[in-house]
Amino acid sequence: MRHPRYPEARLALTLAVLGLLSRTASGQIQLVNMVPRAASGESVQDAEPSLTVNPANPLQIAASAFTWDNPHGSPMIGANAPIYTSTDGGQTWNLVLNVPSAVGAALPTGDIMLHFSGTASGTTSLLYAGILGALPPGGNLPVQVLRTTDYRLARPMSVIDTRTTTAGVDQPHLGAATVRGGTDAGKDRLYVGFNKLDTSRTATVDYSLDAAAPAPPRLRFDLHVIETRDTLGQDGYANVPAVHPDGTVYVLFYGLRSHGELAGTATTDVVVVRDDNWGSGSTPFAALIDASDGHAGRRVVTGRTVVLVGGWLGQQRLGASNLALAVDPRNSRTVYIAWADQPTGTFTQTLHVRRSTDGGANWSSDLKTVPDAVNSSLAINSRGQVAFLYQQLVGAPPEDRWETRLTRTTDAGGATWDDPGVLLANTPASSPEKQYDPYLGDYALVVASGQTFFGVFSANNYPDRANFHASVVYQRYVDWTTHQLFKDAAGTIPVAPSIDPFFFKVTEAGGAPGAPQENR
Amino acid sequence: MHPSGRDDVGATSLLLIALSGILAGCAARHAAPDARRLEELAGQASLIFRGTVVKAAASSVRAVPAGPDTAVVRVDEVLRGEETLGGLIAQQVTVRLRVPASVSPRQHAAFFANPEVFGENLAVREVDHLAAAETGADLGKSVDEAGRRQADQALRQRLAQAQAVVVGVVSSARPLAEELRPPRSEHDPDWWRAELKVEAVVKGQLLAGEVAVHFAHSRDVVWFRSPKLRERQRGVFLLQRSEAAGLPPGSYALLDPLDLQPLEERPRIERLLRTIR
Repeated sequence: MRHPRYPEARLALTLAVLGLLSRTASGQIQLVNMVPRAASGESVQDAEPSLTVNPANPLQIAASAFTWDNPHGSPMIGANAPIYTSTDGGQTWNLVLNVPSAVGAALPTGDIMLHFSGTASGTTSLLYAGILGALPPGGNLPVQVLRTTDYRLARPMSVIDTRTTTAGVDQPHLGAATVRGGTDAGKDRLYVGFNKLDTSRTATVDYSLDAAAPAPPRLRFDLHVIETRDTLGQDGYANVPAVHPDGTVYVLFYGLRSHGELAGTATTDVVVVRDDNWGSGSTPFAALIDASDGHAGRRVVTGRTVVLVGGWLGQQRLGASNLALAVDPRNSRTVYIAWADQPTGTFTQTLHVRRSTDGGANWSSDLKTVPDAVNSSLAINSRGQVAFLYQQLVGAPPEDRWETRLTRTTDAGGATWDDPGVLLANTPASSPEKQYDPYLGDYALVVASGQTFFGVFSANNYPDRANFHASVVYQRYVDWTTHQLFKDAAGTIPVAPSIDPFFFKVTEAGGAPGAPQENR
Repeated sequence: MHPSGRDDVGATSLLLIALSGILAGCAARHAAPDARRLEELAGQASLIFRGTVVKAAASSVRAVPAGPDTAVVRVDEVLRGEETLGGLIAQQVTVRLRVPASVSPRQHAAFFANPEVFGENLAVREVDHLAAAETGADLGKSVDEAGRRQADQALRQRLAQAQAVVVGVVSSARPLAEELRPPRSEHDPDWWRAELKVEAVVKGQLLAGEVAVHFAHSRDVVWFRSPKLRERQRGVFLLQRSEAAGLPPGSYALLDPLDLQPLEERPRIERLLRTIR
């Protein structure tokens, strides 16, 4: 592609690519703005990203965000919403329209999260999606589970399960694994944590023990309410599963117990449930009993305050969504969690990270705390190294900024962190002006494949290299010298800054966990 | 000269058939676009452009394999979808054809399509294409008119569903709940109640006076496009009965962006209502 007006941009891009290649070859950082070149005209708030890596081929990656099928955003102009797809390990991305939506819908989908399975499908693997389906305003958006045999194709995914209630459902989070041995070898186990709002105990898992099956009756989903205690009327918004291939399944949720002292807050427990055999028994998700009350579900902390409404960090809303859970691929008894709660008398929130090495029965004290932060995510690679992703608000308006950081453990025990970690992005927080809530999203994500960490977050795309890790590459038309985005190759149609999804990849050196290099 | 007169008759017949075919073809090529066909295509296509086929059985997007059902087309004129195609004049897009091998290089045509893949270039899936000679010079005007009719149809449907349509002014707007209550989810609509002073009833049996209407105050992604009301706001309000969770039974609510129209749309609304009654 020609860039006739910007030879310096071409040179910078070449240097960036060369730098990227050398860094990747030596085991470093890759950061890519995921908006494809053909969508350079878009200036929409692409918030709340998720990402999944094909376990059979880490060059194949799929990601999602609140991204419409056209550059101007709402409403949808076609019947299918896009996902982001890469076939080269995240260096380049396409937007492929394959998620069922509706012409004229205000939103492409509600919440959306993706997960590859280990079941081969041609030259790729099956991909699952959990979404809140797009409906006309006023309808109750259903949780839908989707499946496609080839994530690269612009062919609508199949709806394999739908859950709805008159009181609503909310925020599907996915966990999946493929059974490695025994009579069920090769079957996909799929777990969709969500909030089923027609009861007062709303933390729920919808799961299938053979999600790759072509059709019922083999393809079957079961519902299980994982909350065993009384609530204030419901549980928190997020119910986050993590699945180990040995059959261990954890789910993390906020058990909301009473209204908080400040309006719009609640007093909450942070609860972990576990099942040791895929949830296949007669009393699923009851393997962890809290000794203090005899109920299933270990309360990691109690009496914490969480913001349900009215709390803000910059333009980003707070809410009972900031939960993360990761299980060690080498040992299913080692599990890390992160949650957010509200320091007394404030309307901000602090992230906490803790670890259990006995399957969730006992928990460490805080391994990390990060004030004024959102969108925590955890992953553990094949060496047992832990990565923690978060976005922290620093400074005061109008000069406040979102710092997106990835910190990693540096010791075999997994308790020492390379603070302050890798600064992936340091972007203005007061601009661009919010188009809708959430500004950045109610989640961002880091996952591990082998030794490598892959992740995604949303941030202000104002093109200034000082705002990003040195490896940053844009696919969309950009002039880094004048800090201007363009719709066209000739650079004649300027485009305003907006919130974009950014992909990152951290390739670790081999051997036991050592001190990861600071890259900025 | 054929020895058989029958053969002469046969040859003459064949010639006449061929001539009539050519004449019919010429007539078809010079006919104005079939309005119904155009309406049908425009109703299914978010992108409409005139283009020139650069290469058949080719692709300019790596994620879209080249085959008999693909062609690379240069965009000559954008008729619909300026936001998507506006930077692509004289650029190439990949078209996935409805009928394989249905275009040839250098062919001019109007493509009715929807986006399929945004990659290093754009790939679209065509609803169909019309050869240049089939479309006439006024295709742009026809597409614009079809777009207006589509917009009218969308509003007509919303008007038909509305229990009442009124011209009025918002006299007050406040949260439906007296106290700040925790939402059920982050997508909670945050219902507010507005009192409308009705100035004219365009549809329905409402008496002049005040009527309560609810709206989602939330700026969440699910609700940010739905109407937001503020005091002293005037407009045309399409009052829809809603059974949405959290609303009093039988409430009026404004849910769809089309449910709140500026005053200058009143003549159009009255015209559309006449087509419903």
